[in-house]
Amino acid sequence: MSWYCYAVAEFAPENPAKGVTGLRACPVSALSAAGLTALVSPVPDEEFDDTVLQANLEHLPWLEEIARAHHAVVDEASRRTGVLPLRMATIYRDEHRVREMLAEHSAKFIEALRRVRNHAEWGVKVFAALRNAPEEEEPADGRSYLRQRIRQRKARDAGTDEAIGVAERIERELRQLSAEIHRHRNQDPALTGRADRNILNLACLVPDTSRDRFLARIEQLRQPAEAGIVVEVTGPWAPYSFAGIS
Amino acid sequence: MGPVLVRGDLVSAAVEQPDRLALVDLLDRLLAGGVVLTGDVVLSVAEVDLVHISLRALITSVREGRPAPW
Amino acid sequence: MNEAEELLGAATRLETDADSVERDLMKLVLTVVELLRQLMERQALRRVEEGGLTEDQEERLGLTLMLLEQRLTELRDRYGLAAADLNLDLGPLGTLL
Repeated sequence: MSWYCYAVAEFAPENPAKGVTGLRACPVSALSAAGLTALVSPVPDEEFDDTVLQANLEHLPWLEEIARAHHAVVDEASRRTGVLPLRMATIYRDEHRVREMLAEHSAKFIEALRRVRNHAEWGVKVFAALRNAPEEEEPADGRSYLRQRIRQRKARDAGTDEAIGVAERIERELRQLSAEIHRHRNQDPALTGRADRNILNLACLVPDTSRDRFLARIEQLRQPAEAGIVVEVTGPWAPYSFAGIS
Repeated sequence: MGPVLVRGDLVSAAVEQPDRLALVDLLDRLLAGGVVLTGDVVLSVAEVDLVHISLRALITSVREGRPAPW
Repeated sequence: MNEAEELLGAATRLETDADSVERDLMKLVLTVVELLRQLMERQALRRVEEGGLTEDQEERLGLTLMLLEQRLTELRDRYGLAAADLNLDLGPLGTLL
């Protein structure tokens, strides 16, 4: 049996994940050391061993199960106290190793927790619809076909440039209302299942006191509604994208 | 209140029921975010990245004749 | 452009073998072939814009690409697939690769 670690919080007498179930419906425990508390739950070695884990992580239903369970723990804990979420699949062999880890990185954890205290992460994504090419006549020969395709690609690129302009404007504005911003990789259509294209995928660390202003500003930025541009906001999240300790 | 998908009227968002979180949004955070520690299980996270997963999602959805599940 | 002509030949042979190929496998194949077609087209258009091809070469290249696109559209139609079903986007911000 090994310990799956979900997040690290400042030490408190009560388990911040009390009553919360983690992976495979196991209760989440609190292991503390050096002024910090790690949220953990037991997982079977067979599934979470080196090579097995690597293979499992490429099995999509398994990945989804773990991701949702991990997030459920982080989400609930973050409503009760400040937490730093760990990346998926951080496993330790026994309690002693977990406490060792806390002690080893204690100063950095405490600094990171201080940095994100009273902040929440908000996700802002911008999608741009592919512009439909205007109807054109069937090309008469190979060279006309080439010219037509070049024209169509240029028009599509221009549409993309426009969309990028909108995205850059949104990012510039949001930087002023956020403590920090992190750009995630643009989301692939195969994963989003959407016909339009993700051109901006931001995580914004926003002080709780600025939350309303931040959300209101996004609403303003949506106006006037640009054709084919969709802005989606998710949140509040625990500070997944700003938890880094070096 | 946990993460919600906020579309349209942001002012009323607080009282809306949260949509099921998109897996892609979760993976952005759990695979590419979060504190990175060297656990006892050595995992090469670089090999499990979103491009790899995207390709697998595409192949799986095509093979099963349905849209990508997220 | 040899690769495009080879791909065109392969697409034609695929149709001949269509009855003996499972529909879902065909969809997978078409997705991959469409991916390659878009890559190839992008490369070809870049060459045309750079110049350095004779009119004959351009004509042959354009014709091959055009026929390839037509052939793939026919194959898609045969299996009831819209372009969007293949869910590919290799625009400037395409992230699949």
